[in-house]
Amino acid sequence: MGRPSDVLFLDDDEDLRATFADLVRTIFERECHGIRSYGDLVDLGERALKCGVAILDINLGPQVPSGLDAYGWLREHGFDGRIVFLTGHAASHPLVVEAKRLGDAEVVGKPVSLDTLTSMLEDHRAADQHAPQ
Amino acid sequence: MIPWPAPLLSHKAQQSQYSWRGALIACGLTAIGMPMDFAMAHNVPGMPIWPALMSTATGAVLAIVLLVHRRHPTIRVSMTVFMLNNAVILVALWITAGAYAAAPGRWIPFQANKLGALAAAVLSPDLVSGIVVIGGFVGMAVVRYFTLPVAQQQRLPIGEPWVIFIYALFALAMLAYRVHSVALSRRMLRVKTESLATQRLARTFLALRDFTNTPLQTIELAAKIVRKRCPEMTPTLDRVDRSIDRLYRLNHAFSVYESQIEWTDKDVSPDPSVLVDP
Repeated sequence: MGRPSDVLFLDDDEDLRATFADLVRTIFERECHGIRSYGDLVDLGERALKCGVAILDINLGPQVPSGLDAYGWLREHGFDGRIVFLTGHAASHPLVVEAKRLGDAEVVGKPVSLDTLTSMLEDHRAADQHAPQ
Repeated sequence: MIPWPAPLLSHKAQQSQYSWRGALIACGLTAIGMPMDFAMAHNVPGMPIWPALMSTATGAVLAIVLLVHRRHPTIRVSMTVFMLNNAVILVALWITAGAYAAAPGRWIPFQANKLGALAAAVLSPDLVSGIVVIGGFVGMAVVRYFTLPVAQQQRLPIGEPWVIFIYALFALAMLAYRVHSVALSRRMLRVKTESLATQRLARTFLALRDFTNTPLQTIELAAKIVRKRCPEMTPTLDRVDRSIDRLYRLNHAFSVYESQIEWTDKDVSPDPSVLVDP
């Protein structure tokens, strides 16, 4: 089952997905659900919705639903965690412009540093869980 | 690889093709127009047929010469053909003018010269050949007038042959306007070509940057994991980090091209494999 401390990572690059999940487990000691497509997100269902942070690649390849569609699905199904778009595209790219317009999601350009990643993974629910008793 | 659109014609190639088309149309008009002139004048006493035949044959031969050069037309060939074509017309008109002037009916003189001057304004390959040919039609009319017997000169309508200078003025104005317009449209085309080339370059650089961002991110994160698990690898990983940093700086340098891009639907979800797949 997903937990608020879990991280959802959507990216179509297998190596980045595996490395990112490995990093989250190794450095941040949190669980990471790496998925490659919108379909995978839907299949993951409730487990995805219980994650505290969702990091979504904006462009998931030609002729397939984008990270923006994934964002729409998450919000429609009551995901109330933090959503961060990760993109390798220019700030003026139409998908990036649309992502910025959403308001309640951040847009971060690849490559991200470890410091940026640390701040991305901060989530109020996760913070509560990790807070000293 | 990124598909590279077919290059636009160079400035010189465009000028050559434009000149070639003008010269070809001029030769075609000669080949068609002179027989028509003879058909209308064949009842005129003493009207020889050979000027029309000579002009028609010359127009046809010169048109063939141009068609032979159609793949690699040059301005020089087009200019030479244009001038030769008009020189032959002038010789023909010189001969037919004598027959027309001597005919018993009323002759409106030098109609073909006036038409020729206007046609040269539209069809000449360049400014110089246009001026020369217009000058040729005007000069021939004036000189021919003075070679006619005085009695024939007096039969001509009022204002002849000087009316042709009005035609010449209009022809020169048309020629200047056309040459200026062509130069302007060439300049605009050059600017457009440069803009397209810049866009293409910007698109390639940004595609390269976007394509490398994910692998670089993977390498950087993998290095962080190794650093955590194997602290003794720190010196090696420092070198990896510095190398990655240099690549990031290169990627950042490509950001200046972002403003050059006018995004299209095809750019929204590009297929990165086109960058590397043969």
